[in-house]
This record gives sequence, C-alpha cells and structure tokens, in this order.
Amino acid sequence: MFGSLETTLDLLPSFSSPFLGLELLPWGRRGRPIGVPTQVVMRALGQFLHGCLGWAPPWVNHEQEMYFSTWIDWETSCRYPYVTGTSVIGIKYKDGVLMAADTGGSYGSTLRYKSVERIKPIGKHSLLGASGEISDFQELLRYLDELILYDNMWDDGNSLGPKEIHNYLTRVMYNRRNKFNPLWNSLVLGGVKNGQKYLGVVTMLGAHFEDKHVATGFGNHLAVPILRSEWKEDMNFEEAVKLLEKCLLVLLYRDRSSINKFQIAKITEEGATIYPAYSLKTFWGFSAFQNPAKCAEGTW
Amino acid sequence: MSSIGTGYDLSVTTFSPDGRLFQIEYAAKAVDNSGTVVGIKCKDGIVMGVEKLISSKMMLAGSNRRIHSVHRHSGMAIAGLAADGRQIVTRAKAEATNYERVYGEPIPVKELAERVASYVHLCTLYWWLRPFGCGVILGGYDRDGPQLYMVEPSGVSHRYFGAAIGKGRQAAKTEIEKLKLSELTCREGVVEVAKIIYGVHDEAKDKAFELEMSWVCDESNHQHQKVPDDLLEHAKEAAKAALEEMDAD
Repeated sequence: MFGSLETTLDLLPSFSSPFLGLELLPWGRRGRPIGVPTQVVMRALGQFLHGCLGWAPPWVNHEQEMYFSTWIDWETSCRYPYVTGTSVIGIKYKDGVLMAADTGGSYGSTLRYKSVERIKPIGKHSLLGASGEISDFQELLRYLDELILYDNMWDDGNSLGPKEIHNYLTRVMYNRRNKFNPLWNSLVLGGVKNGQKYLGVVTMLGAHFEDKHVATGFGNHLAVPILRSEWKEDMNFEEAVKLLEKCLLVLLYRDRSSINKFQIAKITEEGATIYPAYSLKTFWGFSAFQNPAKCAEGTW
Repeated sequence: MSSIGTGYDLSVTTFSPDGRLFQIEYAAKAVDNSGTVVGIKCKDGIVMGVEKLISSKMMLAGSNRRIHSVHRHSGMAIAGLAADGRQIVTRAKAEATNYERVYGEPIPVKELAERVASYVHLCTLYWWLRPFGCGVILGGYDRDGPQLYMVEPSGVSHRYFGAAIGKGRQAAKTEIEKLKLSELTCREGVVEVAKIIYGVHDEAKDKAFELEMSWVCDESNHQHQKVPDDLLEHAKEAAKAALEEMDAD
C-alpha cells in the first residue's frame, strides 16, 4: 500500500558497502543528513571496531543496504498520507459561502473513522475545509489558532479576513512543499468580510486560486461539472444546499472513500455555522448498479 | 540609599557588605517614578488600570500602550520603562503559547507568573545584563478563577487581592484597602480603579495623562480585553465627578 519504510527504501538510490558487507545508516542530527566525509569516517570506524572487537557501534546496520543520505532528508521527506478525508465542496451563495464534506476518515482504502469534522471556523470571518491527511489538517489548525491568537492580542479592532487566511495558507503549503515535506491536503477556504464573499483553494503544492464554486479531490471530477452547469449567482440558502446535496450524492455513489454522513457549513456576515452531520437518502436500484461488473472486465 | 557613593552599586553581581544589590534597588526606583498602575481582584474577575503619562501633545491618543494581552485569558500592565516592559510581554506571550502547544490547554496564571518572574530574575544574575526597569501587574482567569500577580524588577512575584506600583502607589494602596473587593463586581471595579487613578494623579506637578484600562471577567467571557469604550467613558466621568466633590468639601 502506501510505501512502508522498507519498500520506500528499495526505491531509493542505494550504495553497497565495498568492505566487509557492513552497512551504514544515516546517522546525524535529527532531520539533518550527515555529510559524505563524516559518513566515510564513521563507516571506517564502524568497520574497524567490528573487525577487531566483533562489536559494531549503533550507526552500523547489518540488515539493510547502505544508502547515502546526503542530498535528501530522509527524516522528513517521502512521507505519504495515512488517514485521509475525501472531497470538500464550496460554493458562494446569496448571503456568503457554503461548504460541504463527509465525515469519513480513510486509513488507506479502509473507512476507518466515521465522524471526523473536516470543516472548521477560522477567526471571525472564515471557514476552512480540508481533504487529505487528517493529522496535517489538525497541525494546520494549530498554526491558524496561534495566528488568530496573536492577531487578537493586539486588541485593536482589526481581524484577519478570509483573504489574509487564504494567503497565509498558500505560504505555509508552498513553504512545506519546498522542504520536500508537504502538508498532504487540499484546502478550501471560504469567508465573508465587509460584504465581500471569498472562496479559494490551496493544494498541497501551494498552488492556489479563487472561484465562485470549488471542489477538491474526486469532487474536482464529479462535482465541478455539476456546479458549472447548475450554479447561479445569488442562490438562496435552500437552493444552494440542494445543489450541494446533489453533488454529495453523486460523490457518494461513485467515490468509494466517501461515506453517507455529511456536514454542511455556512459563513455569512453574521459568522460561521457548522450544521450537525446527517445522511442523504440513497437509491441503489439503478440498472447500472445491478450488475456493476458487467462492463468492467477483470472484476467480479 | 545612604550607601550611594560607597561603591558596590555598579554591578548586579556584587553584593554590598550589608547584603544589598544596589542595581536592583535603582531599577525599582525607575518603577517608582512611572505613572501609577493599579490592579484589583473583584469577585468575578480582574481589573487593571494605568495612568499613562502623555509625553507629547502631538502623540496619537491610544499609542504607547501599557497594557498588553499575553494570551486569551491573561494580560499585563507595565510600570516603569515601557520598552523593557515590552520585552517581558513578548517573553510572557512566548511562554503562554509554548505551554499551550505542549499541554494543549491555556497556561495557568500561577505558572505564567512564575515563568515571567524567573525571566525577570534571570536578568539580575549576570554582569552583562541589567535588571528590567519595570514592574508588571499580571492578571488572568483560569479554572481556579481570577488571579492577580505582581512581578518586581528583582524577580519576586506575589499574588495579591489588589496591587499598585508607580508614583502614586502608596495613596492607591490605601484606597484599594478601603474597597470591599470580595463584593465588588468588575463593572463597579472599573469605576473604582478610575477614581483611584484620577485621585492619585497630581495635576499640578504631573504631565497630562490618559487612562488605560483592561479587564478579564465573566462579562468579557474570561478573555483579557480593553474595557469597552462606553464603560471607560462612564468611569472617567464618575472619577472626575468624585474629584470635584472632594475639592468642594
């Protein structure tokens, strides 16, 4: 599945020790690779000790091939997501912005958690929805909490709006990607401040854009086409929720990571409201669902 | 200060023969010359007030703050050198956020006071540092209720029901002692603190001043905030009225 440590290492450029079949692990300050000269010295020292005492220091590893850690930071790069959430959808409507997501948390392809809240209010004017690694999202929430706290402590009547938060997120995401250690999320940021609606996306690479309706992950493929044809300027709350539910239902039918437990959240000039989770009525009697393997060779 | 001029007063790392550290006493002097700072613990929270002396008529109202938030639930009022005070506030903020990052809950006021005091004290231990020329009153609200601490330049900190530092501290303390703090609400407390600060201000000798006030109480949702403008105005009016009444008597 998501490359375990061993399989990941297999893919990496490796270097067999020319001496004695002894191996060396990157051994240095946490998060920093050790330099080549240091490695050579440490390897020689390890081999010498092993040769004359029959004992090798802890940085010598007998099981694995030696690999150079000089250019890539193994401690922090090449990670993969573990617990992930699927699509988030966001649309502008008459009074502000609406967001929707299910509450599932997948462990690989296993639907492991059923009530993960993936939409959270940020400050007074914004909502943040996240798909991707849940723990990275939680880390991000901690960053934002601190950001908002430091802003509030000025006590000067100013507050961070959705535009500022969105920009902050792009900076964090892009910065982490440049460290080869991205936060594994697609983020949707919506908000209203001073009568201005705002809706934008940030990806794990730091790419970002604004739009009147957005979706992440599978939603990009399944929800965005629906939104493009059915979204209208200034829909009222009921219409907007109906449109969101239509998208959610399509995602539920076709995205195997989604679950039938959804949360809808709104942000208006009055503030954020996150509604309790609920389920949609499904109908599995469509003929295409009767024999799903019929037109798919190789399945059963 | 009879020992001035007898030496032993140039370094914080050298005791005088009678066991005193003059640099710390001089630092305390810097605090005693500043505008009065008052903090009281009422039954539902903490009120802090500062007599902020205005050094220039051209200065924008509200600038050079002497009360700062340290976290959601606590704040600090500074007497003495404002720039030194900012250093302490910055440290206190760092300690508070760090505590929350590690333990996942807001720092208890007692812990915060201890950490701030340690920091202030640290600066009295090395010859290459000078003590802070400021004292701070630290107010906060945690699960043990509202608490008020005062940290002095020497690095000692004590918990108080009511505390005052700066020029008018003696008069202010006697006024605080007259209050029934266990029955006073913060809303009433704001007015009382305003009265005290207007009362100790020496109009003949001192420059003009601005009253700066903050509270942490039930009414502010256990958050440290500036006292709302309308209440502050009301308190100022009441304080001025009380002064005139006294003059009339």
